[in-house]
Amino acid sequence: MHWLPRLFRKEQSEKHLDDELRFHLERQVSDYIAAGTPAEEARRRANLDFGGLESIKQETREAHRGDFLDTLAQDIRFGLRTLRKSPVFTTVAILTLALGIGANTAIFSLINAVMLRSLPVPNPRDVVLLRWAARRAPNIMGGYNWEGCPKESGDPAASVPTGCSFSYHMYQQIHTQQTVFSRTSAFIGSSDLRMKVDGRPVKLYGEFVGGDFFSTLGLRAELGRVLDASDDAPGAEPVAVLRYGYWQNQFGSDPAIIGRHVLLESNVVTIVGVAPPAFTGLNPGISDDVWLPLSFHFHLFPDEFRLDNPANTWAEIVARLKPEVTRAQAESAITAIFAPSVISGPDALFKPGDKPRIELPELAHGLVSLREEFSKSLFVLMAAVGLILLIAAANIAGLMLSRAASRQREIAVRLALGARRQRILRQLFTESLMVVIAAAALGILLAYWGASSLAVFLSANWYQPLQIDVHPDPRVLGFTAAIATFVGLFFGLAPGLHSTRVDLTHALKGSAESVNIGSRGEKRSLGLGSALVIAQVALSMVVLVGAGLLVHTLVNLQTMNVGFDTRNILLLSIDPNIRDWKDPRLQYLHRDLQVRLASIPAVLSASYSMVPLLSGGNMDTMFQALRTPIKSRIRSDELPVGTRFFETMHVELLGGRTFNAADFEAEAKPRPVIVNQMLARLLFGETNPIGQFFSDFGSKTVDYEVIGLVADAKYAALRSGVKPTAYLPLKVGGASFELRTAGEPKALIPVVRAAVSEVNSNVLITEIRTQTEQIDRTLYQERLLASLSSLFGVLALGLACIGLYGLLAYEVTRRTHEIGVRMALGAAQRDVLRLVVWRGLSLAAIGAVIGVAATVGLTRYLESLLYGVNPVDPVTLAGVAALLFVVAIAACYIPARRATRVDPMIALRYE
Amino acid sequence: MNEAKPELLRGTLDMLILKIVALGPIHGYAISQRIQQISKDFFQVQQGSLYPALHRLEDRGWLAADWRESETGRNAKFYTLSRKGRRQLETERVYWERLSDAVALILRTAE
Repeated sequence: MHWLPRLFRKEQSEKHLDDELRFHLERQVSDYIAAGTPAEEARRRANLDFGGLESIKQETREAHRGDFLDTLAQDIRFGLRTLRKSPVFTTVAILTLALGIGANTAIFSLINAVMLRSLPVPNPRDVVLLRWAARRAPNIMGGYNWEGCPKESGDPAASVPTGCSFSYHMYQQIHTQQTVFSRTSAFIGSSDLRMKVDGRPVKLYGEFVGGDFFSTLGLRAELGRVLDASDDAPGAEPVAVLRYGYWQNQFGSDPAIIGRHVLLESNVVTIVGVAPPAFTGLNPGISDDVWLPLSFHFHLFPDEFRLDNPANTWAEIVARLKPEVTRAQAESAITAIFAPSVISGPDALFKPGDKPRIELPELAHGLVSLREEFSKSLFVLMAAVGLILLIAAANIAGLMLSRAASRQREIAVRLALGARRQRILRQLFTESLMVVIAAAALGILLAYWGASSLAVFLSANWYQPLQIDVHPDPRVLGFTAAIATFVGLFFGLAPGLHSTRVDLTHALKGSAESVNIGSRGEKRSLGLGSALVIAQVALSMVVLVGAGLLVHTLVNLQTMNVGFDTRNILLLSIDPNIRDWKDPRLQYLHRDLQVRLASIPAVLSASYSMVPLLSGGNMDTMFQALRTPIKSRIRSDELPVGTRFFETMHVELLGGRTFNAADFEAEAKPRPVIVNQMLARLLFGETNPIGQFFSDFGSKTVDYEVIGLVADAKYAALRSGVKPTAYLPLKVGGASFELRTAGEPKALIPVVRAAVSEVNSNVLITEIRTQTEQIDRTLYQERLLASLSSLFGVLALGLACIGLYGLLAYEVTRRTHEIGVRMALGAAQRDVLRLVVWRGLSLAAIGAVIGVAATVGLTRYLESLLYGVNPVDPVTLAGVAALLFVVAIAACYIPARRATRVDPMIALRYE
Repeated sequence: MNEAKPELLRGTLDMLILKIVALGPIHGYAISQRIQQISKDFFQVQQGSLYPALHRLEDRGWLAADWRESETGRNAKFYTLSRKGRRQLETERVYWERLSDAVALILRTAE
């Protein structure tokens, strides 16, 4: 019961203050009387000297610091009461702002997670990645370019070849000779691995790292130990460090995991440690499950990378700068080791004139894979939600404005009773702030939900599971606080400033509607209100047009003719558990599976190919025609396929034949090949390609004989045009399967699974999806952008129309008297209706024109995301404008109807 | 009538109050009288500034206050200088002297 003594104290101090001031006043009076002034006059003069008793009291009260809180509490109580009195306004305001703030926070959480968050290592700014740059691309003899190598941003000569892959030879040289890093370590990107846990196989992602990997990053094990140099020595016992989350999920956080043996790719591996919880790898959002020594990679996959060849580049190198060494110093020191070595010898990667050098981009925010993939989409979405927030703020500002106008009586009374302007502003601002705080709290919840769903969506469409951590961290919360403050200031203060400039005489004399008629304040309020509505319409126009273009793009991509029938195809990816891609058993397995799958009754036809169509992957090569006078290089895509591929995919055969079983046995050149129309035209012009020959570029022999001609079809991606394509019999390497089904392909999944394990129980099905799902997956960013931007567009339009409706409704109420007079003078209902609708539509039209102008300037930033549609697409613009007008008419109609129901008698008597 | 009388600077009023209270327990009315007397009616102290200032100084612990009988027999709120207030007065006095010396110096040299 704390409030009772406090209340008592407060009452007492009030009484004391009163006594003190009264004492002063009375002494003054008696002094004047003593000086000979008549009593009545003395009292008058003393009062005059003293000034306003109440305002002095108030200021004296505020001199106590504690009273700031009391005033605040009073403001909050008063604010709550006012907000409760108009629940509709409060709910609409909080929901609108919560949506705006929530959407912004959600997108920002994702941007934060994939772009802004630092690696959870000590002094992340000292961690660098090694990258080479040169005037010309190196003469690499195979290797691997990992994703996530940062490209120099803002460099005008950004087209210089760069890369982050180094040969093993170079890594060792740098590792042993350098003096500018405290530690350095090679690592190679995630590989899918198979592990047997308690007898059941699981797939996991492993990163192979040098012995100094963890010490370079400055990470200690959460449990057990991290890898060290001895683990990476050739022939060392294979050991592994687990990701914390993986240990939790897969091993139930079992502390006895240390020292346990698991079977990884059929090798016994000892688990020696668990990494710290925050560390999930160097690539934000893409988690590694296990870290293994590099030497173990050489043991597992001896053929994959060549250790002895300095032209075979595949290792990425991470390093930590010594504290006293600057980046520039380190760059020149490492270049001094790198450059001489790569321009000499028989396997020289560069010519001396290429000026190869080493750059050390910061790795503080991790590798850039997801950043590169998502940044464009995320920035577009961020822009869209930013516009939504502006619309929401303008909307609430409009609401506040009409509310403030209807509260002018109240405010006028308070001003007349001696309340100071700041005090009232503070009161109004407290109210706005309460709305904003409630909205921000709700918005953070919405954002967490929204960002998590987005992260799940992105993860489901990425080729490996993503762990995008969207938990609100201080940066996200700071962002939310900043935008909340911004909108709070925007809509809280502007109408407030206006509403304290009240003409007291008018406000107190008349009814609420007659407040301020003809005064300056009125014009301002209407001008501001209209401007806010126009701004909302214009901004929503921008969002809608952007959405329209993105939807149009998606439709274009989804409905384009790809050259084969995408419906009723089931795609099947397998892990054959055969690591050597030259193993002949692989091809027997493919044929067995093909036969077994084709025997399923609902399967019309089955085939396989190196990669599925439209999966984003492709292989390209160079051919030359035999009888061209100039040695023309013909760049072409190449796809190794099984028998019945064209029959299964419904690629039209235009001439010759498709592959038969004999084509897969033939070893002698020329090998049988099937070409598409585009390649045929490039090789043979208009002559019939069937029976013609051609060669690999630079080859001295006749390598291929064309046995068939097929129609052009897309191969790697929807967005790229049809490429010249050669189809060859698939004789080495892995494959994925295509099944043409009679009905719904997904219904066959259990039968297909059973059929595969019947053929070979060691074969793991890594993925089953339909061709349409496959296409959708490559379009996931387009789908995401189209659906989210449409959602935002609808939201923007809805808000703008609520704003329009609110303004008109308010104006109709305010002009009841005028409308009454008009009707009394003979205006028909139709005229009144037109009056209101005309006003609303002209606002919408001004907004639309401004919106179109802004759109023309802005949509070109979308250009790289669009397909088959012009950034200034007249159809989209016209469609959006039409939609806007239809909705605007609806928004105008309700207040207009109300205006026509004004009874002149009542309206006039009311005054 | 009043326009010739400048309003006191905010910090100056605080210092004058502290100085006057330092002479002995005194109530608000007497303080306002005293300020006008000793400044030979030069300063005009509004009650609207005086009482907030008194309460602010009390709130900061520089003044203590209690209710006692006044010269007319009525109870009034008397202010006394606290130990903290005495230190504050000394600081402000030193600061003020340095300030006025500096201003005087500027005015002299600028002539």
